[in-house]
Amino acid sequence: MAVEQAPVVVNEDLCTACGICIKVCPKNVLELVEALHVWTGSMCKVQRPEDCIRCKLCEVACPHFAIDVVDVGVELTFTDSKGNQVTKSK
Amino acid sequence: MATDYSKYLRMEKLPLYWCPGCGNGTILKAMITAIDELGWQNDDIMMVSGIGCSSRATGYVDFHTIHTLHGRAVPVATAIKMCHPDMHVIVFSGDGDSTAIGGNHFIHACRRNIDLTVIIVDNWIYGMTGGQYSPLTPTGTKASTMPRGNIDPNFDIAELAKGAGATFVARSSVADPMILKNYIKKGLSHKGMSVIDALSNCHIQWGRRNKYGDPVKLVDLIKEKTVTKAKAAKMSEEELKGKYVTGILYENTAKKEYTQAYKELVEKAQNE
Repeated sequence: MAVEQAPVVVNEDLCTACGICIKVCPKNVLELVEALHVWTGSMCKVQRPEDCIRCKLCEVACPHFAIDVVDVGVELTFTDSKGNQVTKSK
Repeated sequence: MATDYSKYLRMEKLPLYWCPGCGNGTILKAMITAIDELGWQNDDIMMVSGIGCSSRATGYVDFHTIHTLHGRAVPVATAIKMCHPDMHVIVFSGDGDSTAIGGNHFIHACRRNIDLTVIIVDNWIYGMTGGQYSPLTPTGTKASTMPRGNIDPNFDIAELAKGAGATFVARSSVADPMILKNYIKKGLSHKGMSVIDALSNCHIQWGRRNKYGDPVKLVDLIKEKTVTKAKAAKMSEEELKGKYVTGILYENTAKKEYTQAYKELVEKAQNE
C-alpha cells in the first residue's frame, strides 16, 4: 500500500483558527470545525481533500505557518470525504 | 518546490505569539519565501527590528538577528551594513516604529541610499503598546488615544521614501501575499535602499475599535482600499481619496549606493 499523502495538511499545533485560509480557498476544501484545544473553540480541518487543486493560496495566506500544500506533480493517496481511499497523480 | 519553512524558522519558538489572523505572519512568510527563491544562505542574512508586534519576527527566524531599541532599527542596520557590506541586511519594522519614533532615522537612511531592505508592516496602529494612533492611522478612525476619531492627516510612506531618496519603493498588502512576495524579492535583490510598505491587518487594536474585529473582514477591507497602479492612473483624485495605490511605485538604479561610495572614498584616500 502506498504511503498516505494528503494534498493539504493543517498543523493543528500551530493553527489558531483565524479563518483566513477558509476565505481564500476557491474550492471550499477547508472548514472550521468545533474543537476544544484552541482559544477560539474551533479548528481548521481539511473536509474535502478530493477537491483540492493545490493552488497554494491557503498556504501563502496562512499567518501562522500551519498549512502545507503538496506540489503539483506529486502522487497523492488519501481518504476522501466519503471515506474512500483515493490515489491521484497530476 | 514547496518551501521548507523549518529551514528558516526557529521551530522551537513556534507557535507565533501574534493574535489569530495577524498579518505579520503572512508578511514574514512572504519574506521567507522570497529569500528561499533567491537561494540565500541563512548566515548571509542579517535581520534587524525595533520594538512592536511586527518586530517580534526576529525572534522566530534563524538568521543573524538583532532586536534593538524602539525606532532605532534603521541606524543599527546602517551600522551593520557599513561593517559588512556583503551581508544582506533586512529591517522588519512596524509603522509606528519606522515612521513616528524612528522617522528621522528612516528618512536619512533613504537619503543615503544604503543597501537595506526595509519592510514596513503598516497595520495603522501601535498594536503592542495598547492601540495608540500612529502617523498612518487613517483619518477619522478610532484608536485608544483618539476615541472620537483621528483628526491627523496621515503619511504616505511611498511618497515619503521616494522624496527622501530611496531607490525602490513598492506597496502591497496581506490581501495579495503572492504579489507581496514578488515585491519583497525585487526589493531584496535591488542594490540600494528599498522600502516595501506592506499593509497589514490589526483586527484586535484597530479593528475592534472600528467594527472590523474579524480578521477576514479586515483583510477584505484592505483589499477594498487598495488599487493597483494601472487602475489608479485612470481614477480621479477624489476617487483615490483614502485608497492605497499598490505596485512598484518607484525604481531607480542610477543612484550610487552608499557602501559603494564609501569604498571608493577609502580607496581614493589610500592611493593618495
